Amino acid sequence: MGTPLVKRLLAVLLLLAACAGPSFSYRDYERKAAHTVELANGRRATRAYLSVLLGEAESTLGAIQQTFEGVQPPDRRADRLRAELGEHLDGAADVLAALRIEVRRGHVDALEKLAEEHR
Amino acid sequence: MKRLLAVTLGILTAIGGFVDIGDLVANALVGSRYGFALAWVVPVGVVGICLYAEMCGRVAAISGRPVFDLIRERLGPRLGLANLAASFLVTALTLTAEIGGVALALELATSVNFLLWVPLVGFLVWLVIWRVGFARMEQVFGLAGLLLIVFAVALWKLGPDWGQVLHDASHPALPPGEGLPTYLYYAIALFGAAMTPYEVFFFSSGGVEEHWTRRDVGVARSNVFIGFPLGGVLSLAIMGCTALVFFPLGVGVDTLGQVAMPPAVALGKVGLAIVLVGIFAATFGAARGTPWRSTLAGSGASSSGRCRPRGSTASRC
Repeated sequence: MGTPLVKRLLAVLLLLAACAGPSFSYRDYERKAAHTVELANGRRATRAYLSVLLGEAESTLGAIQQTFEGVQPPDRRADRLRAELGEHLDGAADVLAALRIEVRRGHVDALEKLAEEHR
Repeated sequence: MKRLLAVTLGILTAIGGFVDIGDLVANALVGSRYGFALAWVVPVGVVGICLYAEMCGRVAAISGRPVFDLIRERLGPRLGLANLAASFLVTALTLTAEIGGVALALELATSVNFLLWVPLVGFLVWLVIWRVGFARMEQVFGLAGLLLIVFAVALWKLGPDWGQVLHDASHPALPPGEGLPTYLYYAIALFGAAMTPYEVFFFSSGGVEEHWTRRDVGVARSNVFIGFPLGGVLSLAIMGCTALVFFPLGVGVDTLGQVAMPPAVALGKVGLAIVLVGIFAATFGAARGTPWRSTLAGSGASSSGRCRPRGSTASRC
């Protein structure tokens, strides 16, 4: 597993972990992403470890999705927000699932590409 | 020379044995959520456990009686039983958490679900308690737990602004969005993680089982007053690592996998491997130690015959 790949994966994992933290704006998210990539720069981890962390991140995201979907939107404006956020959450879940599958298959190139696409 | 070796070994074992699953999780969580704003709790907890453990060891060595026995004598059987029952309850919860910690460390190393590891870990803990010499295992797991020093190395490698760290630790302030009740709740949780009952069972009842005399008080004191504070430094290193990696991102640590991430970020695969072995050793050592030390406390409280695991120097029950 190459260094650039793992550093990106660690960055993605930190970002996903951020999903469960306090709420923040897109600008905050972007800044944190940049900081995370910087933190993870040039580091490595094992495939088993990354696989477990991705699985945990998926479970956390699933719980967030479930909680959010269980909230009754009060009006049409809230419907639009719900649809928009739901779309983002679905997208994040798809990326996580794809990363987990590739990590467990040991497909290094595919992972690197996926991480690059979603930075 | 032999005495010096015993003291050194005891101190190293105390350092490695100080950090268990409670310290790992509580320090990492607090560091990620409050940065260094709760760092002051660790020294308070260390002072508390040092004072209590030293007192217990001294009482056991001088009077030849376990502390639980004295509590029952001075405060009556009801309060004595309540004290013992509360200690046992906390220790039962601790044992469950330690077995979970071993299983989670194995999951992080193998990616095999931790629930599949739990029965095997439980069996191994029982096997080690039943078949392996106590003194050797105490030292092996205590020394292997020293691998958690990797958190201190990771902290140094992460290159914090030490002046700022000292300022944040000495001028605690609530992070934005955090309330005082939650802050105090985590302060108590952190204090409780440092003051784990099973850690003092050894001093409160084990001293009697080991036939401590006045001559042993010095060794016990050095273990407590040097080993535990250095273990506290290790706890602060764990907190510091998550404070540097997660706190600026607003990310709360809620899994053991995240606890192990800072050494991976700072030191790569080697750091990750060391931290996983260290977590395994610390949690397995504590899982093995909790039932044994509770047995000592129970036998001390009942003032009945000696009950010792295989490998100890005195007779077995």
